[in-house]
Amino acid sequence: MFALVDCNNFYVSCERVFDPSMWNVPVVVLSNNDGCAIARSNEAKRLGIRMAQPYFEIKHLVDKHNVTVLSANFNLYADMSQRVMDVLRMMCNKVEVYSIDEAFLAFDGGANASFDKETCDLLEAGFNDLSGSHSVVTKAQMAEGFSSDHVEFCNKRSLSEHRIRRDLLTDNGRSHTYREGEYAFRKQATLIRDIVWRWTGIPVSVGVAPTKTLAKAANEYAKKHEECKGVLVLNDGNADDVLSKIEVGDVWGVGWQYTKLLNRNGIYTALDLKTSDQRWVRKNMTVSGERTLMELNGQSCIPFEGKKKLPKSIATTRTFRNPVTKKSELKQAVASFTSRAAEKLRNDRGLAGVVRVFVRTNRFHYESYYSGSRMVKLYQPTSYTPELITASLSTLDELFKAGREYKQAGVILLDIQPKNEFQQSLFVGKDRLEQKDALMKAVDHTNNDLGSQMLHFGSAHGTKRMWDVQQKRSPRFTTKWEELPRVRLSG
Amino acid sequence: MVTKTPLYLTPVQAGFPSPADDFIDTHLDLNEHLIRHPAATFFVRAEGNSMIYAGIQSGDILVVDRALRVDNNAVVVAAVNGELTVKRVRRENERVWLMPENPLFQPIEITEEMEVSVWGVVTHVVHRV
Repeated sequence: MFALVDCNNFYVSCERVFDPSMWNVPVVVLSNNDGCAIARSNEAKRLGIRMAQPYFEIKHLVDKHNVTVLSANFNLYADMSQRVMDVLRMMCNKVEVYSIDEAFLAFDGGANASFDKETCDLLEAGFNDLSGSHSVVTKAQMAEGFSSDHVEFCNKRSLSEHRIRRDLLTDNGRSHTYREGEYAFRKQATLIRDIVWRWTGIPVSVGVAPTKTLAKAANEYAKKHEECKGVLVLNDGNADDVLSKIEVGDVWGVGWQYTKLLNRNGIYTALDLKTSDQRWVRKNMTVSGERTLMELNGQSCIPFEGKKKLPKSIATTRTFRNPVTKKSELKQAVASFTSRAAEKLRNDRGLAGVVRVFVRTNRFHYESYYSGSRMVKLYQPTSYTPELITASLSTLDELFKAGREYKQAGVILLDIQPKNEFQQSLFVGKDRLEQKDALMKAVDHTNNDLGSQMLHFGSAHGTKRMWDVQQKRSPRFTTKWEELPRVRLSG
Repeated sequence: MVTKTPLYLTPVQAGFPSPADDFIDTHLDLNEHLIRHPAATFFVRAEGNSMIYAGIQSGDILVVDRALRVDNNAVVVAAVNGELTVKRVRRENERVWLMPENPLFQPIEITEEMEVSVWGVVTHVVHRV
């Protein structure tokens, strides 16, 4: 079985951990430079604020309903993500981090959920002493409700639930192995949700099913239906009902182009797709569509990926605060984005074979809208920043059109391969490559120790102020000593 | 968190090896002492004097562990009326108070209608002398 653990409204939830004044009120996080909504609390969703909606379109709602608006604080989100994943790894030995706020867990036939001794002791300590001081918390904590996002699950925590949990944990000794069965899956998933919440303050939903695609669907359903309390285990009895309530476009692996095609053919829900003709699906949606169909029918085709896979692409993209009009400025920006992407590439121990650069003007100025992108294939795969910058800058002669106001640009590294498997070209000496490696290591270490971009490449110099202004970003609560959460001891 | 391991081994060509080589330990790591549950531990900065007799002064850094059980008399970070604060939990019979540790401040009794929740348990105070 697979479990998909997905953090609810992740960026908003991270912000809320450190600022109780944001609990229970609408909160929106905007993309860098306050472009578009990239996370919304449930309250904000209910106001009708849509994903990726630009700020100017929601401004009137923000003013009218007093919505808290924040700029993205990725330092915080990355740290909180790490914490959530660490907790998951303590609770399950097979965790596949799928994105910053999602992880697949492999429940091997339900027989692989063992906790280490320390966690067991702790869980026991946390849950067993209900007659003692723990009930202080239960009473005092407003049932731990950070907000309506959480309350539905915390509120109803009763004594008997704790007892059941405790029995499950202590049955069969300290390190407990669940038997197969939905009951055990549900308990395990609930426990995961509870512990992640308690330890990190992040609410998660858990979907459990025999395939990854179904686990995604179960998670989606659990998030949207309060009665699930954030946990749904799919079985033969409930699967079709659940799938009938999920739009086909929300099925994992079905993009919007296929959604249009499917809708034209009378397929609107996940259940419609599940019961579609397999040959038709293969013919119209290729083998990947067929794979989705099989997964919806309970046949697992997408395996658990225990090892961290190299990303398919690494992108660094920014929206400029003030439009960029000069070629020299655009060059600086692109060089700087390339540096950052190269850093990420080296961190993943990868090499890139292709660099793609794109630029675009304001897409809400429809008449003058311009966007373009160019790809450059590298002579040989590399993670050496100067080579990548040379490649990315070479695109600008064609891409840059004078007289346009560029609003956004980005660099995407593609054709990524593991560095240790790369067969070195015969034409380049090993010494030379090692020198480059050493230089890049030195740059990365310096930037890690002294702050990002302390050392940068000449062509990227001077770019900082063009897009780094973040007006409403919260403090980096967990990664900077000067920005720790402040706790008032005067009330 | 990275724990650095020192390599103090005497070079072989120096002759007789140092008799102390066999007794080398790793460095003491303060993280190990202060942090039991890294994923659940946060640092916060105290501002104000209401917990002075609990040894918490303005400007101190508090180590807060969210994984711990909240025992009676525990010093906790609590969210009270939309703000984080530090108090001692005091429970008597069926009543619960958040107690300051400074006679100039008033205890807060927690009632049903209050928006109060415990955020984490304070385990250590980092104070510059």
